[in-house]
Amino acid sequence: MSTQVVVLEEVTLTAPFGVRFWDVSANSPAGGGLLVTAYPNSYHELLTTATESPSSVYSFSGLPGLRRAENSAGDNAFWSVNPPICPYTIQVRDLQERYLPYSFSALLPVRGLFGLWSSPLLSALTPDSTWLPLFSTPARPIPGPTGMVHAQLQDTFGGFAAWAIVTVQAQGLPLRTGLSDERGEVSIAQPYPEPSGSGLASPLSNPKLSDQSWLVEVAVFYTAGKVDQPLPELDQILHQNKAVAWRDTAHTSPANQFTLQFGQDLVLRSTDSTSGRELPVLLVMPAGSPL
Amino acid sequence: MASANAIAATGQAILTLIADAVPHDEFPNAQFELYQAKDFQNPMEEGISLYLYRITPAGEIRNYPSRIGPDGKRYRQPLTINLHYLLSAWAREAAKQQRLMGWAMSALDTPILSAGLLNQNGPEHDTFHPDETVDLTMETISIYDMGAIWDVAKPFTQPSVCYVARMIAVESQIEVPAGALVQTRVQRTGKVVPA
Repeated sequence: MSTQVVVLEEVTLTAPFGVRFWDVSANSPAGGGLLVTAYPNSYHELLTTATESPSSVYSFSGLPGLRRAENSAGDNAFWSVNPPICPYTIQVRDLQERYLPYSFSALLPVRGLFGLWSSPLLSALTPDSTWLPLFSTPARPIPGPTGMVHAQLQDTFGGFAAWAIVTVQAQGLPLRTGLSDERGEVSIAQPYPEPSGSGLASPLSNPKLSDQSWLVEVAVFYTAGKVDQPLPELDQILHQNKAVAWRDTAHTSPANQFTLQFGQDLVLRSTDSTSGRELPVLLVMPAGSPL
Repeated sequence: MASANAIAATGQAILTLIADAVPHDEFPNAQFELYQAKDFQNPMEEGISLYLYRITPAGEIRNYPSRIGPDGKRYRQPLTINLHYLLSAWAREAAKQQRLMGWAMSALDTPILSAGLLNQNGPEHDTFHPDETVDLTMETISIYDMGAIWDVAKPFTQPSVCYVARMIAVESQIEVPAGALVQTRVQRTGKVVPA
């Protein structure tokens, strides 16, 4: 006797929002265990927590106001007549304190993975627009013999230059990017470039590895007061303008080149013009400052 | 994870580290070479040889996860290997030979080789990714095993020391076709009835 299956009920579940993250420091997908939450902009108390899939995508279900989208067929017909219109705020936190937190806004539902807005820095941060960047905390331990660049940024008004983007580049190596925390502290792992004047082909007396040093170019992107505290908006972080880091308190020359010595952490500092002593901070003049 | 040139690059980087550390005024004619078995029959007058006598799978991690490249694509698991080297010093006088050996071993006291050092001898300068490193540690092997290694060089047996470069992950270029991300799931409940 042949049989057939009679469908009694059909339920479709569509995820109204999915997002994944890229570890900017490690240049790889971010580690799991993030706390990703979302709420409608007008109802902060209606907080929903995302679940993480095996493919490291964080998706939501049960979001207020999106039931119809979640039970839709999720096909072309649905998406063509249901544009994203519900404003939500999404917050990203790492309870293990590997990554700095931030928030971003999105209109839901979103078909496919949530993409990032255009930013001049974006192409250097993630493989494509379907990843959102995550920046390391200053205290995150970095394995291996790698150069570390540290700085505490202070703006020319005396406050910490919080949530400033700092880029470091050594010759022949990709750009490295870091984000300062709410105290203006930033740490960036800068792998050592190839030793110069060395190698088996060199006929001359070769410098020891421990004597090697390299020039690194440093740039700061900071617009004072643009980024909200204590949880900054990613959009605002990435759209800061280039600031000027000063080598001294008299603002005589910009500090855009430093020397990285093998085996030693590089601390970016300005100097006090009157005493000649190094300050514990790097002075930064925000973009667009009248000073 | 490194490219397929990682094996050659690692040996050259070890020799470079030694060459940079040995004082050239004391050893002006010292050579620093990777050796094959046949080279032991006609060894150098003075210098350091590095002989890759064995390659073993890195047993520490056998279930390495597949790699997601900077392009966001997923690739097969890397091949993780350990490289076992025999480092030998050569000189006409025993004292000089031992001084040279001392300098070489002192240079290798830095147990972790950075990507910059590993890539510097080229010809490719991206064999290792900037964040990659290689652990190099001294290895103790039995007199019997040492004798077996030196079989290739009889009767030129020299004082030597063994090192192992650990956990070199040679990345695969084979992309793993990943299923598309799923946004909509359809669940159907039904019952079986006679046709």
